[in-house]
Amino acid sequence: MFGKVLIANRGEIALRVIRACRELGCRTVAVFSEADRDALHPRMADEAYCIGPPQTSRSYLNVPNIISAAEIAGVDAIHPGYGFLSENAQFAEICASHGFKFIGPAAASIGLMGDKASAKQRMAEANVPVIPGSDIIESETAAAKFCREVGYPVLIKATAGGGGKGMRIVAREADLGAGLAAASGEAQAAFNDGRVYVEKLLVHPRHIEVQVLGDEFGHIIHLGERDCSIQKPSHQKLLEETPAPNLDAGVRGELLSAAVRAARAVDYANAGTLEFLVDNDGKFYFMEMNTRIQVEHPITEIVFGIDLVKWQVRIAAGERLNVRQEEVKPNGHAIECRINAEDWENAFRPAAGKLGSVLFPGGPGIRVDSHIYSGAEVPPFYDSLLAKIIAYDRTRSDTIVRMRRALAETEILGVATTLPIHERILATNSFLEGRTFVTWLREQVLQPAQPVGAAAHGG
Amino acid sequence: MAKEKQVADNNKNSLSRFIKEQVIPISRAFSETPLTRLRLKTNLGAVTLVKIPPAAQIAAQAAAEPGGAARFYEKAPHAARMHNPQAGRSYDTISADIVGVFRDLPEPPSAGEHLTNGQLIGHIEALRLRHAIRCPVECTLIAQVVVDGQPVDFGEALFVVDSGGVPQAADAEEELPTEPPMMEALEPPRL
Repeated sequence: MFGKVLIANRGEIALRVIRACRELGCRTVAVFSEADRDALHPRMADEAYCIGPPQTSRSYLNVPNIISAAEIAGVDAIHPGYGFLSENAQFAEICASHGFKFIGPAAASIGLMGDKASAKQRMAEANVPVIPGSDIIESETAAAKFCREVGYPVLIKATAGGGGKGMRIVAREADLGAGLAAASGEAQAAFNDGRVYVEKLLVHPRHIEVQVLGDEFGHIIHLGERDCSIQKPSHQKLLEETPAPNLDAGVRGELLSAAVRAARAVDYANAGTLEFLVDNDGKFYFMEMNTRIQVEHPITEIVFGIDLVKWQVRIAAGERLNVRQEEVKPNGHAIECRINAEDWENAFRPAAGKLGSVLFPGGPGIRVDSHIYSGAEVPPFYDSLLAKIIAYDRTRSDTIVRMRRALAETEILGVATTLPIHERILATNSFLEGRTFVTWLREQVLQPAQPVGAAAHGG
Repeated sequence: MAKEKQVADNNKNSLSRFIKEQVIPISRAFSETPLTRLRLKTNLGAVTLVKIPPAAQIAAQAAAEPGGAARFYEKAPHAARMHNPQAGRSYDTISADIVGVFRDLPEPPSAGEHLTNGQLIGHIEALRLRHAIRCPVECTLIAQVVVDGQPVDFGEALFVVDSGGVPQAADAEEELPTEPPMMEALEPPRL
C-alpha cells in the first residue's frame, strides 16, 4: 500500500479520496488554489500545498506545480479525482515519468477511450454496439440505402461539425434529399466544408451506464448499471439511480456483459464507466467511456457494498481485485441528487457567493458527500456541485420517499440551489413510474406545456 | 457627483475610524498572542493581520508539529538577519510564484541591503529546474523568511522588503462596511 497519496482535486471528491486513503492507512496531501484557502480539503489532509491562483489553468490544471508539490511532499501516488486532470493521458504519463503512480487506468487506455473515433472503432471490434453511422455521404442514393438499413429517424451531421451547425433531423425518406442539401449547405457556409454523414437518431433514449472495476492482472467485473437519464438541458446529470427502473432483465444482462467486453478490449485496469444510450426497444449503443471515478459512484457503492475509491487505490498499489463477479449482488435501491449552486429557474446559471446556514439531512439510509459548511465561500471559478445527497432503501418507492424526506431536511442558504427542482422531479408522475429519458427534464418538468419533439443524440 | 463624493468621504472616514478604533487595539493584543494570522471583520470593514515571525521561530514551530519538521531541512538562525523594522510600518513581501524548494544564493542578500529592480535574490528549484527569484521593485530588504532547502507553496512569502511605506496590499481586504457589527475569527471547522 502507498505511504502517501496526493489528491490533485478539490471539493467533495477530494474529501472522498482523503477519506478512502485514511481508511487504508495512507497519509494524504491536498493541493489547493488561493480561492480554496479556507476549503475543507486542505484542512482535512495531513499536508496541504497552495499550487496557484484561483483560475484552474494556473492551479488545478497546473501540472508543473502539482508535480512539484508531489515531489516536495514525497508522495507515492497521485489521485486525480474527476474532472481536471483525471482523463488527461499526458498527465498520467508525466506522473509515471516522475515516479508517481497515477491512480487510474493506464495512459494508453485513457488515450484510446478519450478519442471518440478510436473508441467507437475499438468498441465495434469488440462486438459492443455503437450508434450506426454512415461514411461521408457521396450521393442521395447511398444515404437512402443506409437510412433504410438503420431505420428512420436519422440525424445528418457535418464532419467538421459543432454547435448544432449543419445538423438536420430527417424523419422519413421523402425529406432526405432536402435535408442533405440543407445540412451540407449550412456546413459549407459555417465550416467551409460541406461534407456530411448520417447517424441513426434515437428517440427519447435513456442514458444508462455500467460501472466496471478491473485490476492490473486482467480481472474485470461490473458493478451494475446506473440510470442517469435525468439531465439538465446542457446534458449534465442531475439525478442518478441504481438499479435502472423498468429495464428488461435480458437487456440488462446483455448491457452488463457488453460493458465488461468493452473494458477487456482496452485492457482496462481501475474503476471506469461505460455510457450507453438505450432506446425504447431495449437496443443499446455505446456512447463513451469515462476512464475515472464518477460523481455518481456512491449509489453503486451502497447497493453493491463495495468501496470503489478504496479499490481504485488498492488496485493502483498492485493489489488483486479479490472479488468474483458471482460474489457481487445488488441489494436495494439508491438515488443521488446533485445539489448544485445553480439557479434552475434561470437556465441553471451557476451561483457563487457566501453561504449562510448549511444543514444536511441524516437518519437512516442517507449519505451526504459534500465539502461545504455554514459560512463557506462558493468560489465562482469551479464546478457548482455543493453536495450529493444519497438515499437508499430496499425498494425504489421507499427510496423516493426517503429522498423526499431528506431534501425537506436540507437547508442551504445564501445561494440558489437545485434543491427545488429535485423536489419537483420527485413529485412528477412519469419519474415515479420510471419513464424518463435524456430530454425528459426539459420536456416534462421545465416546460411541460410545450413538449419538444426531437431527441438528444449521442455524446 | 456630490453624493458620490460624500459617500467616498464617508467611506474614507469610516476606514480611518476602523483602523483607529479596531485594528490598532486588536493588533496590539494580537502581537502578544501566539497566533500568526488573524482575520477580523466588523461593521466597519475587514482586515487580515499576519505576523511574520523570525525564521528560527518558524523552524522550531514546524519541528514541534508532527510531520512538520520534514518541511524544514535546515534550521538557520534567521533572526540574526532580521533588520529592525520600524514599529507601525507595513512592508511588502516577495512571494513564490511556483511550488518548489527555495535555494539561497551563494551570497544571499543581507538585511538592510538595498535591492534593485530585477536583482537576483534567490532560486526556487522545481522539477529539476532552477527558477530565478528577482526583486520586482527598488526596496530595502527587511528579512528573508525562508531558509535554504525549504519547500515553498505558491504565494508563500520569501522576503519581506520595505519599498517606501506602501501598505501591504495583499492582505488588506477592501470590503465595504455591510456586515452587522460583530467580530469573529473566521475559521471553518477543523477536521
